[in-house]
Amino acid sequence: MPSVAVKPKQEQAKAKKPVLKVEDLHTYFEVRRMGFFKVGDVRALDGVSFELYPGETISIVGESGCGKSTLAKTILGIHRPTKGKIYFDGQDLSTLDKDGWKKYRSNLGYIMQDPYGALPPFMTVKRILEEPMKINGITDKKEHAKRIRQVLEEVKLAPIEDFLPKFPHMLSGGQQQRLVIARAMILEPKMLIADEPVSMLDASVRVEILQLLQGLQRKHNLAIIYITHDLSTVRYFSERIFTMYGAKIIEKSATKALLHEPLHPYTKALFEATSDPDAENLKTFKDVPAGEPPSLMNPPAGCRFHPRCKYIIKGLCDREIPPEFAARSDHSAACWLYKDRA
Amino acid sequence: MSNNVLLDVRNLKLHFRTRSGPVQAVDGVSFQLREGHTLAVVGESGCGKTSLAKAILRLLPRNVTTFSGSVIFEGQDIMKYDDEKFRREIRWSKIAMVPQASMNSLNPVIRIEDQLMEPLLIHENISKQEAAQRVRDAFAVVGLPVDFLARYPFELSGGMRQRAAIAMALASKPRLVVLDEPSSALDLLTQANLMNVLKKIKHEFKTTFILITHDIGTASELADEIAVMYAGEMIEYASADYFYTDAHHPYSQKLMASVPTLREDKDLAFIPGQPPSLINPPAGCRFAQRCEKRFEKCSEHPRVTSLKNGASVQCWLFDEMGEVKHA
Ligand SMILES: Nc1ncnc2c1ncn2[C@@H]1O[C@H](COP(=O)(O)OP(=O)(O)OP(=O)(O)O)[C@@H](O)[C@H]1O
Ligand SMILES: Nc1ncnc2c1ncn2[C@@H]1O[C@H](COP(=O)(O)OP(=O)(O)OP(=O)(O)O)[C@@H](O)[C@H]1O
Ligand code: SF4
Ligand SMILES: [Mg+2]
Ligand SMILES: [Mg+2]
Repeated sequence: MPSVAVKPKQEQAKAKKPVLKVEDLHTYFEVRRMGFFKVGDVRALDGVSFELYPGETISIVGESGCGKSTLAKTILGIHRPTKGKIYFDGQDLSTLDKDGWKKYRSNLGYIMQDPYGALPPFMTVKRILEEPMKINGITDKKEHAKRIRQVLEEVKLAPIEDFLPKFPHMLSGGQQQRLVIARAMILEPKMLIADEPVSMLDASVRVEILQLLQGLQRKHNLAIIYITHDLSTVRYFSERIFTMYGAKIIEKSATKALLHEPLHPYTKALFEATSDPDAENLKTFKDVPAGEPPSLMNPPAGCRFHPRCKYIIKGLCDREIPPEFAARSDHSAACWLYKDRA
Repeated sequence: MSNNVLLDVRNLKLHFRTRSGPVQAVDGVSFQLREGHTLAVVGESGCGKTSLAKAILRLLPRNVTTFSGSVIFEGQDIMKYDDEKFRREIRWSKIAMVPQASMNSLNPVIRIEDQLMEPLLIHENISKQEAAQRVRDAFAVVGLPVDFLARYPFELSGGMRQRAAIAMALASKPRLVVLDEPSSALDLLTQANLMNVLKKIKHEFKTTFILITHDIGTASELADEIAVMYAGEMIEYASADYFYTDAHHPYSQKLMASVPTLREDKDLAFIPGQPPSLINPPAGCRFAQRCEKRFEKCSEHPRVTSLKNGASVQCWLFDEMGEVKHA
């Protein structure tokens, strides 16, 4: 039976140059009343910075609405950042012309959040895989056939000839997701953004898809951003984990360090809320904060988690935005509790 | 907790008519549930979990071809009741259901209080004041502020609406509550809060629950017993204590091995292949095609075997180890 092992690859990755660098990224959406009066902004991404290295996977965890997909879409150029910079291979994206963008996009595989809306229903598997090549100026039919064969083999949709004429609705959920991955890989990208790639799938299929992504990563030295709200999958799949809350990254950590000890009270709460299958769970209550995530139009002052936080330092947490404190070389948290540990 | 059997389901079948043939969504399911216990029904999408709940509550679509077996509740075979009697004496008042995605099933433009009172006024012979009191009590139980009763569903978050839907099921003081994926659509912290609420209700009021979920981790928060469904059949029924450490059926074992864990680093494995179609499923064991342990016998339909530890398994590997219950 195939299995996944945890593989710390970060040191080796660190020596290289980052494939992606994001600096103080902000994405705001204007909210207008009656389509006219501007009433404010949804600050869907509010100051995010990090670097991603070749061959590395970063998991981004956080609850609905915290800005995960907005981060993905801003990196992809679907949303234009309100403020901040994105560098790919050292190049500032804001300086790219039309051809530059095309080239950038062909280096970036994207697995969208909604797998059912992701595949065009009236195209065959063959056409779905040909489209991105045509758009990117690959016209040689032999090259098409070669690449299609290669990606379908890699995602294990075999026998290939059986799948080529099929339409998406003829595939199971797991097979559809493998096709989505094949499409994301067809242009041989350097980087892959996978937005909840397995959350719509059954447990027995999830692992298969995650292992598939991991195999592709090793083979092609891919850098992957893996977005999920499911903490339990990340240990098997990533070198680093970022937690998002209220449009900010509030904790950054090497996977091992985070599993050893989450620092930010919100990440602690996510850990507490995650149920591993264990009959003992029946006997205890979970110590999790009540309340709701903050409004992104009128976020609370200071730390955005302070209204729900049981460790709150009054007069500080509710007033000043906590900066990122590095508690260890591979672990930082934007939380006032760590101001002296940094 | 008492040892009284509250619900005894025997050979329950629910098949649907489709153009390609009958879908055997529930195909000969039997189990017992004791008062005050929670049974978690787990299994992958399409295995028949919701259909089982619908069969017990007799919430049937139009295209039913087969609906048979017995459902013995409080000692009475309620399958024998006519629809009118079932509606009057069973549904809502004795057995209530919180349907899948129920947070979206409340009417957005009717005040929550009015929606919650409606089934009480229809099904139970009580005054408006009494109904209002019951609804307030139920609201308190699920941990919602009473002044929210005057609000409309669209003014509440998803987690609050889900609690309101549960309050609605509890207001009639049923002896059995069926929860269909009550927390799957909710955020992690909201989900954990909701499981706390359900656990509190279970402990304080000794309510009997059937919890339907595909999330085996979350199931362990509430379950005394676990039932695993596969392709329309209940292939294992075991106490949670045994199930979470040593699941019996080869499918259950594979399913457990595929669940990622946060606190423990284990080798994850997936189950190659797919479940069979419920139209013309294989005559033998429905899992055989994907089973590493299959042998000749598996081309025949396996019998349900009761083991000494109280578990029942529908698998030939166990046939000689226990007492055969039925074919
Ligand atoms: N195009 C848009 N216009 C206005 N607001 C938007 C837009 N896209 C996203 N938002 C808002 O931005 C916030 C962040 O949304 P985003 O989709 O990034 O969250 P997410 O973390 O991906 O959530 P989920 O886990 O539900 O997918 C939300 O409040 C959302 O309503
Ligand atoms: N009214 C119907 N007519 C025909 N087929 C149906 C009907 N309702 C359900 N089915 C089929 O019966 C099978 C069992 O469906 P059911 O909804 O019980 O599954 P489930 O285990 O609840 O799945 P999920 O986890 O996705 O909710 C599926 O194959 C489904 O397509
Ligand atoms: S900064 Fe303060 S309020 Fe925010 S998480 Fe840390 S302790 Fe809690
Ligand atoms: Mg999203
Ligand atoms: Mg269902």
